[in-house]
Amino acid sequence: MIKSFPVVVFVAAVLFWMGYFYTIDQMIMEGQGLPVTWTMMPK
Amino acid sequence: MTLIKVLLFSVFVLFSYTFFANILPQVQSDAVEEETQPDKGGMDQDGQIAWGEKLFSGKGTCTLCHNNMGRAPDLLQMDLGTLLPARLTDSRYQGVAKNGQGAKAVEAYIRESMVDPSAYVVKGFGKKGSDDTISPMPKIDGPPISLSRAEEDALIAFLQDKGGFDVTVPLPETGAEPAADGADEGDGEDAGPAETAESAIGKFGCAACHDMFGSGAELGPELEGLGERMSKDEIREAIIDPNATIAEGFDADTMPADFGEQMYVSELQMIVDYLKNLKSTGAAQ
Amino acid sequence: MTHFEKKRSGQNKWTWFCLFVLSVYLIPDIAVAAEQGVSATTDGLAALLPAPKPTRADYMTVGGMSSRTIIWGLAQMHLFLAAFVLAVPFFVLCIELTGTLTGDKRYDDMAYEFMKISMAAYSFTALVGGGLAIALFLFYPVLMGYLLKVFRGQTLIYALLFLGESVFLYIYFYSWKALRYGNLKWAHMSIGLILNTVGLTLMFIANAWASFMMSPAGVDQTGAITGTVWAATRNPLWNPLNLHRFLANIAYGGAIVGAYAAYRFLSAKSAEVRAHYDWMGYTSNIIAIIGFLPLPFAGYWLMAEIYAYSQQMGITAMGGVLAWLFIIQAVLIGTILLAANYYLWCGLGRSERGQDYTPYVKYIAIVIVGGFLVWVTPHSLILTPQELQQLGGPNHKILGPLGIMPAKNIAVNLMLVFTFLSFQMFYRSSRVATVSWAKQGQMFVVGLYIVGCLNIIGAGVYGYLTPTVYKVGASVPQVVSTLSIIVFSGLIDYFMFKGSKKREVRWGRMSTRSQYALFVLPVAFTWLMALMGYIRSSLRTNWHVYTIMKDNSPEAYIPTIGQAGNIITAITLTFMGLILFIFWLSQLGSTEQIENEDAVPAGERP
Repeated sequence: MIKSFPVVVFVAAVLFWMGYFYTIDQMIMEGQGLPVTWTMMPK
Repeated sequence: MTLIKVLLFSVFVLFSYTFFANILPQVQSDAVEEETQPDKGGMDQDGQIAWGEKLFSGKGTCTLCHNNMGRAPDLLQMDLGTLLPARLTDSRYQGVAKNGQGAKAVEAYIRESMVDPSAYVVKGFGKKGSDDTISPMPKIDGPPISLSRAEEDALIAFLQDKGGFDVTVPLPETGAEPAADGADEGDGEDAGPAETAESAIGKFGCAACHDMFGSGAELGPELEGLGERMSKDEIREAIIDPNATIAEGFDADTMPADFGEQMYVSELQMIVDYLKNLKSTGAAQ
Repeated sequence: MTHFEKKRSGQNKWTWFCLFVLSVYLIPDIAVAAEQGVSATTDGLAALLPAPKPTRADYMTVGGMSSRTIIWGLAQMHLFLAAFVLAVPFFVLCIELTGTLTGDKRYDDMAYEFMKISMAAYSFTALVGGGLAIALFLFYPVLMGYLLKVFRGQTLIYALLFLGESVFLYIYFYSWKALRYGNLKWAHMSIGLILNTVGLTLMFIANAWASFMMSPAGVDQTGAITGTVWAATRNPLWNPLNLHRFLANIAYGGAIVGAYAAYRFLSAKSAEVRAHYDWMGYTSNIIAIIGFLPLPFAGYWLMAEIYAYSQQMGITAMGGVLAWLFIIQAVLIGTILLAANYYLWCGLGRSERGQDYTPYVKYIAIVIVGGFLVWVTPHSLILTPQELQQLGGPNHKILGPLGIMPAKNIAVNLMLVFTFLSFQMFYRSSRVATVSWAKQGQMFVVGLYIVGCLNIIGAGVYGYLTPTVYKVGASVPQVVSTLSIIVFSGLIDYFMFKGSKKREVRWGRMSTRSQYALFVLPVAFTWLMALMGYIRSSLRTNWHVYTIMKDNSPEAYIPTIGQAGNIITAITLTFMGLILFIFWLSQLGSTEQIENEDAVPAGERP
């Protein structure tokens, strides 16, 4: 199915999704009234 | 035919679920026992402490949250002797036993945590998003737990004893009637609500502590001019939750806290209206 | 058609649609307005009476039978049937719409066939409902009297809505062939829309009564009615229950019609009929999965609202007496996911390209089975005293931590993600992408899965390292991750495979083994629904209406899981029998006997 892939696009995709998930994780925790630091640990 | 095989297989799956359900620990949760008032012959302090311990995991349902799973402070494991006095001097604590010391203050603190849990919430145990200002604990003197005064005392005795304090609560009165709701005694007869405010006030014995209708009682605050001092909501709260706000110069836990359950709503309404209309006579007291 | 005619019919279509959507919104509005109207009660303070307190003498028993078990059986049967007859018109309408938009006749025929099954079930639903109502008044008159006082006029509206439901159901079904094309088809779908609205409103009203018993509102602490009917309806647990039941109905309905398809597939005589029912089975399985995937989220919301309303009630459910039930739930959901996935994997054999995906199936299987094992692991073990001593406690050192929430959430979210992956593989198995950005799109999908799964695992591990409130809070990012993976990879795939080369899917080329999955799915679902109902009712412990009316009946206790399991199995078996009867009925309806020949179902004539 995937014989060879352009590494650059893959890395870009991973970074993109990492940014997305980090952002929504932060938003969700704050939205529930659970303040967190930038490392997602409780304040 | 395949259809038969498929049906048989489904029935087999069903029976495996049933089997699984039957091999798990079987726990039957019985209806909570009503207050088992001790023998009329009286109860001594050890008996009261033992009763309190029974209530802690029984009718009080305390162990549901107060355990090692982190929902509420694990009272059975903690050293209450050092913990409770520390709470009283905590900077966030503003409750009835603030800066108090000794067993009596501890009693007041425990009682306050039971009947008004949100008065002070230990850090980290508040409701999500309330920044530890609202407690998820229910008021144990109301439904669904509805502990009576004697049961509260027993629990406090148990906790005081556990923390190594003197037990400062009174023993349950002998011959006192159980405070269980009348339903379980098959009490079907109900006289119905009082017709007038005056008869309601008489029915609940307010004049025994408050100076009304010339009783001269001084156990509770002056009610004259109440209508000018307090709103209807405040008056209502003062009747059904007397410990919420204590008048200056008076003590907590003096006025019965269960009028809310005993009164018909219409009776409460009439009394509140009557008190709201109580004007000051101007006479010095 | 001339340009003018096309334009006109297009406009007509949308006019009809808007008109009927508007009228559909009117129905619940009318219901609510009527509620406000009939809520005026407080003529004088004398009307403010607290809730009655039933004594033991107020409960009737008949012939020494357990009243609670009778009500349980009737209520559960009613719920099974009602869930089915509410769900079917919903996905039937969706399928009908798909058929209209794509022009593919097969969709319309399948939608019609689904409705036929539902019609046969409808009268049984009403019958059992009537029986339930009678039994409730017979065995719990004080409670019912009080509930009627609280909900007053709404109960009449409920009855009227049933009239509406019947009217629109019959019109929707019987006008199918008459309103078949063009504008009439849109009119027909509008009728279906109204039918769905009436059905949903019925469910919402019934849900209000059930949730009121758990989290009363609109009454004061003694049970005296101080609010409007709307206030009592809109109690804290109403909407979580609404959402959960709405989604679960769809999943359940899909599972049952899947069993119907399996039933017809296995008894089919010609290849054409086999192909038809194979396709129907596939569609039903998809409907069941689509309804199933967001269910854990709705269930989580329900549990969270229960905790918010009363922490005590929440802990009774998950940390107290009912905790073991959630292990059984894990077993059942594991069965459901395994069955749904297994069916999809078997389905890969229908196409050449699909067979290319089969090597990946074992990895998905590992995740599903592994997740299931984690989910089924309890926190505390069932041990004898000697074992307890040997182990040094009720928790296994290594496996114990798998028994708490963070691990379970990782397991279930991953199981859902990988189930969706099975579906995605099947979707792709009949398509070859032709867009220019296919490779790049693929990178994004793969990246999404990897990062999303890592996020789910990470949020779960986080729960072990943080205080309870944070641990619980971390489950929301997990669910959102699952939903994100599903939504975004679905979207990417949709655009990536637009205009794709279609590969042949040989419908009918399905092993009979796979049909086991289609049967086990509704069986497990049915048992699961009954189990969850048992939990929901037990949360009230010994209260009829929580904190307001105590249960003083002789059966005011939560039965053991074993007892409950037995009763649930008995009800499920009864329901299975009834459903088979209903399937047989709808097949009988299209069976014809021609003079001098044997009777044969439609389409089977040699």
